Amino acid sequence: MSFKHIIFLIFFVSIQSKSDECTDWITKLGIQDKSNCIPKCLSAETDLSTFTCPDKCQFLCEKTNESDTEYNLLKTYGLTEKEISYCNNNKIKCLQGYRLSWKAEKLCLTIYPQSSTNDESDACRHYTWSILMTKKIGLDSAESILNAHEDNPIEPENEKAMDLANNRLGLLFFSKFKTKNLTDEEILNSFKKQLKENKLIILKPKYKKTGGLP
Amino acid sequence: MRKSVIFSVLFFCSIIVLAQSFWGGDTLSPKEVKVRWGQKELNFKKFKEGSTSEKASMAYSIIKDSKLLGKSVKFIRENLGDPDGFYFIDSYPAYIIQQGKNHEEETWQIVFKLNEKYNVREIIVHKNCCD
Repeated sequence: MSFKHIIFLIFFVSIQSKSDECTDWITKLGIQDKSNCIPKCLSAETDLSTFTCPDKCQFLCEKTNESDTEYNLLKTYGLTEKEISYCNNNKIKCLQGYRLSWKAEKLCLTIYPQSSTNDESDACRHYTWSILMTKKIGLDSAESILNAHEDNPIEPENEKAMDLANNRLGLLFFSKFKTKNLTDEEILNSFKKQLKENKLIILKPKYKKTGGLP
Repeated sequence: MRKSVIFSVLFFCSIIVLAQSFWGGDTLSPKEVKVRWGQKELNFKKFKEGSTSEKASMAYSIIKDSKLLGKSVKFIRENLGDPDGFYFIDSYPAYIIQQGKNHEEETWQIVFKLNEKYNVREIIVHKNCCD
């Protein structure tokens, strides 16, 4: 592989790290006919946060195809009926919401050595996810997704109750602070504070002796 | 021209690998599972009550022996115990088979992926943590 090819590879990789705004922008355009995506993208209205997006139309149009695939793949990851129903009517928020669930897990893995069930890491995921979603897509949408997620007929009631309680705590926290400038670090710090104050529901604590932290 | 073709193939292959990794996380093939942890026959009681290493030794048998495919979540939980891992969503029972003490050590789990009727459709061994 020559130096020129390496430069091309770096160029393509750098395109991959475009902002969420352009992805949201092109999804909102709702372009049905994928073959006409680029012309429609190039001529679409933009604002201050999306004015650079038309420069990336070729990439975004390819990415839109991937988002459909992403959405279909999301459905294979065991969404409940209520989740599927919500997502069918709110595709953008659904995708945004579930991307944030993966972010929540990653954030909690900065604290805990693994993702487990019914322990502190589980509480962390639910609490963090609810805050991230409220920050991104608003309280009503976040609450809809969270409740739909828990409408799971196979989940034991006590586990469901734990998840709902920790979701609620996250929503309440965000409602109290009402700032979209909340950083990931601040979210995790608030989680640690809730742990210290025993406000989270944890069915099978692993780190009781150390205040909920490893 | 030939170099461009090779470059394009390499580029798209890397995208596919990245996408698979993102969407499924790191997983092991049955052969890799066998090499890592051996191949003890599945014993429900021993799995339910055993240590993570005991569970790990049965992972290959669980994957290769398709008798758990099609089973309900209720069956899995009754026979293998309460799940202690996590794979993307709460519904999928996941059992830790190798537990890292910190982020430098890998944690692996065996995951029972479900279909729309909440029956097992696929069993994988997945890296719970960390990248």
